[in-house]
Amino acid sequence: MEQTFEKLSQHPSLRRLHEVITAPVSRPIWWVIPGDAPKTLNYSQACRTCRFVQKPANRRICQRQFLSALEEARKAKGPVQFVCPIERHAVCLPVMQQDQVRGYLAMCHSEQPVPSAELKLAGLTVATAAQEMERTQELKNLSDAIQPRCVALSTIHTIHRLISSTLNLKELLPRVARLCCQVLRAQSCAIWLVDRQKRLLIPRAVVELRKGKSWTLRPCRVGSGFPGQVASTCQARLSKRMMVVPLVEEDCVGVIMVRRYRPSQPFSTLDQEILTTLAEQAVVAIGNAQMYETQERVTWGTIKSLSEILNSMEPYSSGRSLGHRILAEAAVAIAQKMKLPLSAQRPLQYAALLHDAGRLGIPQEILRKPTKLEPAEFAKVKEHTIKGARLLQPFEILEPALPIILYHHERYDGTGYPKGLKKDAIPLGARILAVANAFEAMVCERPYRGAFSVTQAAHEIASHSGTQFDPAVVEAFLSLVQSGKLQELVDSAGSKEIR
Amino acid sequence: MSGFSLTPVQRQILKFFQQHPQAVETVRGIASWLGHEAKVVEEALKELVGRRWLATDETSAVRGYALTGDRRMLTQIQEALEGS
Repeated sequence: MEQTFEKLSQHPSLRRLHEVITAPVSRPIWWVIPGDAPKTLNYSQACRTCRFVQKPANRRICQRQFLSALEEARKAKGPVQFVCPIERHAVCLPVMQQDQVRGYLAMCHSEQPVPSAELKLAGLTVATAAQEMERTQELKNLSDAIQPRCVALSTIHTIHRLISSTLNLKELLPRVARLCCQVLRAQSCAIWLVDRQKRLLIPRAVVELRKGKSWTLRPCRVGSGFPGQVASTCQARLSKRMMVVPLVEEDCVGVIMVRRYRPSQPFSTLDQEILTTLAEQAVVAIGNAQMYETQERVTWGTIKSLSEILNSMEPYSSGRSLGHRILAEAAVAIAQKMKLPLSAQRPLQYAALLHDAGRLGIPQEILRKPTKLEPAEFAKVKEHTIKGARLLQPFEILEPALPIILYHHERYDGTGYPKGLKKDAIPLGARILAVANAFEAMVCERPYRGAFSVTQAAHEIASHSGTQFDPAVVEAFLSLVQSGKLQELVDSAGSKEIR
Repeated sequence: MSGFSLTPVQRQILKFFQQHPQAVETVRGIASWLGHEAKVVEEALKELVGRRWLATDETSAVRGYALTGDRRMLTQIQEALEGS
């Protein structure tokens, strides 16, 4: 309140009042007196101007009279003028807010009385300034009360956007854990999901923000330990340093636990409310991600079956499915090396399995021909990219994979087919598939030739960097060869057709 | 001392997060709290994230900014705010 009163005394309209009143009266002493019923006055300022109050005994006389005038002004709720012991004139102006006296502005040591018109004006000015200050303070209080809630609401909204746009459970759960730590200023957070068949809680994400510390989680039985009890009762647990809330969607699907290690900041019931809100959002996102993953598995299974069927209809089909698996995994490994998002890796995987679907439309005698193809025959073979894309077009899920299938025989220098696209005009997925396809073709044994080793294949691909293949893709591919990842891939295929 | 001079917008951003340490906000959200253009705020945020004073969490759809939980970084922030 004193701060407010201090501000009030600095108000521009009161400064103006100071000038108006000071003009006709000579060398006045101004007082800013906070509080409705002050018991003493601070004479440090007055002593510099008034010799009378420099003596303690006189100061007591002055103070008694001054305080009595203030009391009078408080009762009157208006200005009071009086004459001091040394026959100088003084004025007290009560400062009112909400009908309460918050303090006083006073002036003394004037040789003349303040004219009544100016006194009235002074009273009005003080009242107006006080009202304005009151409104400003009210607004500030309101803003101070509302802003944290608005920020919290906005945070919940941002978190909702972050987690609802994450459909990969492996990304979602650590993200939820990180956000819980952030919003609750917790040092660690863990999420378990319920395995209904085994009645177990399986740890799925853990975030530990303390440097050099780790939090190892093990599966726990539903019903035992803090997380297990919360999962079985669906009731949150709160202690000073730890909170556990259930993830409930009809039944309990998991629990979130957060921990703080600073005793000075214990968890409160408000923190529990916040964590419960986050858990409610998380459970919807988890449900969506699980549904999406199921759908992805079904799609992937369908595409694999489709690829198997298509391969079985081709000549020399023995080992092709295995080859396609190598091709798909090599393509995804290159894409990951090039830091392509997951949304771009999936279509590449689909395209890898189905890239030669169009060969079904090519006469068998051409595909089976053991000798070099005639130009007209090769022209027929080249149609397989267009035919494949056309064949798969009705599958909506394959839409992002179609450009990869259509252009996987384009060459970086523009001499490929079907359109002779150059460099970046060729979709990146198609440029990656071209390298993976060449790799697979070389490391797989064919009835008409033996298999290359990974090193030989890498050497061959490197020699066509910048002409047939995108140098950036080749660079990623070669670094995978160097790390031994592609050798591992070929070895794990473990077929006699593949070395 | 961090030896880093803050721009007025960076200063406002850090003060906002100091005042609301639990906040997770987008560029547009921060811009509307502080009354600046989103572009100006985005530029100011880059350096704060680079210094690891602010953490980010992002998906393909949205990027959220939040105050670091690292105590050493929080001390640096305080020093930078007091120093500039």
